[in-house]
Amino acid sequence: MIAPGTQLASRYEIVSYIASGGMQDVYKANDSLTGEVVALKTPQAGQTNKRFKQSAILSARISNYNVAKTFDYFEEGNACYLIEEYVDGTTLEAATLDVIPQIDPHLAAYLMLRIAKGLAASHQAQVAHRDLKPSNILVDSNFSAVKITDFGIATLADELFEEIIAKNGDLTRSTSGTVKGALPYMAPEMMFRKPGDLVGCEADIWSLGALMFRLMTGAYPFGEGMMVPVNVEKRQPLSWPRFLTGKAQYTPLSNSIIGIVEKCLVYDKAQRPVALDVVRSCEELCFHFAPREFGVVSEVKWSTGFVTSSRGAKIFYHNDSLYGAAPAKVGSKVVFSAHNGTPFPRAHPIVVCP
Amino acid sequence: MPLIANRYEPTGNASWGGMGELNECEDRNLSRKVMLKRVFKPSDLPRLLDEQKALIRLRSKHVVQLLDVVSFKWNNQDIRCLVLEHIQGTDLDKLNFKADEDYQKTLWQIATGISEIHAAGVIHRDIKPQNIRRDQNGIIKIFDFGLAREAGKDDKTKSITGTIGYMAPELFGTKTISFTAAIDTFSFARTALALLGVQPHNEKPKAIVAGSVIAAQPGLNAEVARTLEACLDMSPAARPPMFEVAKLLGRDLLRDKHRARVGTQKQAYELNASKRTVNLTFKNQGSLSIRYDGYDFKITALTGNVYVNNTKASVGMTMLSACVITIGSAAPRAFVTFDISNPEVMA
Repeated sequence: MIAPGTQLASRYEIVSYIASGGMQDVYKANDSLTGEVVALKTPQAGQTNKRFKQSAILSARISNYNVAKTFDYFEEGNACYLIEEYVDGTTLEAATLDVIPQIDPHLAAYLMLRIAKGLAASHQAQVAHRDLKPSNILVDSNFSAVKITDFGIATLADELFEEIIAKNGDLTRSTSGTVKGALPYMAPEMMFRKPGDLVGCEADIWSLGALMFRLMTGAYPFGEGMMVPVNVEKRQPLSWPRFLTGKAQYTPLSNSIIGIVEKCLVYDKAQRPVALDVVRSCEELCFHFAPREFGVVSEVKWSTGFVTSSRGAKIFYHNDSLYGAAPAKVGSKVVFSAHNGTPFPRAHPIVVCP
Repeated sequence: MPLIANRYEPTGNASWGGMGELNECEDRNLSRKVMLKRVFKPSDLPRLLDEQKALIRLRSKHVVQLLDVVSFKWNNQDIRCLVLEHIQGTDLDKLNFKADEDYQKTLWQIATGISEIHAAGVIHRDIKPQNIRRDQNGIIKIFDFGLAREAGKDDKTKSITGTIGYMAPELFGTKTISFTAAIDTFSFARTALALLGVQPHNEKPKAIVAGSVIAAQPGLNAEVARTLEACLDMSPAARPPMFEVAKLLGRDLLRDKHRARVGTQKQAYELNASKRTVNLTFKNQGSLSIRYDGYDFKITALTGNVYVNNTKASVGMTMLSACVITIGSAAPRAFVTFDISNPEVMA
């Protein structure tokens, strides 16, 4: 642990410890040169500095608004440090899956466009992420920043992966926590790769499809744990829950996104779209994005109801705007976008949370 | 030459000879290229740093990131440089545009970038195609902040701000030059015309005749042309603020691309550019017509009692992004949901 107040490279002052990414420790720091808050990353014990530097070099090749930017890399004492853009928020995992059972198609379109833009820029720089999942995407409180992070983290895991492949033949029978966490989003060519196989950008497209499926349904596209490789290998068709297309208001957008996600999750990597294709498809989607708020249902009528927002405002909703698997009851926690209305603002979309 | 600050190695690519004003270097720490921008007057460094800090706080995608500041000695001179992100791409003066959607999206990005710069309290001072680059992902980046004043490329421009041809008229002729953000607005419009091949004259600009932009560029969208003309007004106060220019251009990029889902109990309709009008009637309670004009959905005809989100509807009313239309003031009434969506214009 680096103590708060410690200064590094006569420029970065540690503010606080943020998290451990499994391979590296992440701190919040102040950059005295620019006055900016930055993220400082340093490898955990047992990681080699050489691999850490290699991963830093990979991520530094990408410059895009939807990728957390690499600002600096330096070595001091025996340790090495990466300085990255700081996102004041949390991971996409924590912002969606932890609190919302499934995101509505409008939010899905908004997020997919941004993640695909970040991927397109990194693939253009010939950098594949290879471990894209909701916990590797940073978002701020109203989703105005959506940034992929940890490009190159897969480089850190390479050694571990190679060991597992050498021992088990491929990754699918590993008991490693790192592999287990990655499997539900892992492309078949990564999962079943043999020693020396190169895994390219196509794997990120698969992961993008898998993570969108997860966010939109709450479920993993091919299950969890040992079932993932089995289901992927037998090319199990995706089973989309009925609520995605159960309401006329959402059906066209849901269907469009389902079409894009299914193309990403094609077993044969040569048949998948490239990131730029996904960007173009997402750019054609018609959606409406407004910041999300939370609230509690206060009144339920035949086809309408009311919500008290977390800020205390009374909000009207119509059943046609209610999206998702769970019905609205008085006391249900909900997430929604508010639109102008008289005498009450109108919620659309509105999703019941667990 | 040894490494600068123990990490930056000049590649030899410089835009202005030897240790000129802009030098490309390889950052050995991250194996990537960076740009070293020389600050000629050390007394300018605090101002430049302040501007950079203000810009960083905005996190604009159109501004180049400041990475480092270095001081070193070269040929017995004290040199100070800003170390900036290196953007691969093409400067706009090397690109050919025609008045199409790509051109308009480029203008929208430039205008957005300048309006973000202005929001940070910074005036660029030298907006021109050579200072704007399109990166490999199509993102517009604006370079060279506030440096024009101290590092003129030749004697003619040394004492004044900017580049003749792109410079606003108020910058000519007086000894003490005071200016506002509107000088960037003028340069923006001059840049917009230069991108279409209308190169500026090397002299103090003259007032343009209303309608001359559209007359010279019939391919240009009329609203864009009018906006550009307003930006070229001789009087700085008459030029629109850049955020409004960006908003207008962005709005136009979505022309005819909106959709509205109209949902009744029985059926759902879609309104869009190919089906612009819907007529809704419920028993004898009332009726209305809604028409899509390419930007908004507006009520064009009305009978009886109709409410939009509980507000009494009127002819000419613009529909809200997501609303409920109620036909009738007492049961039996009809409820119709009306939800507008559009593709996102995103750089």
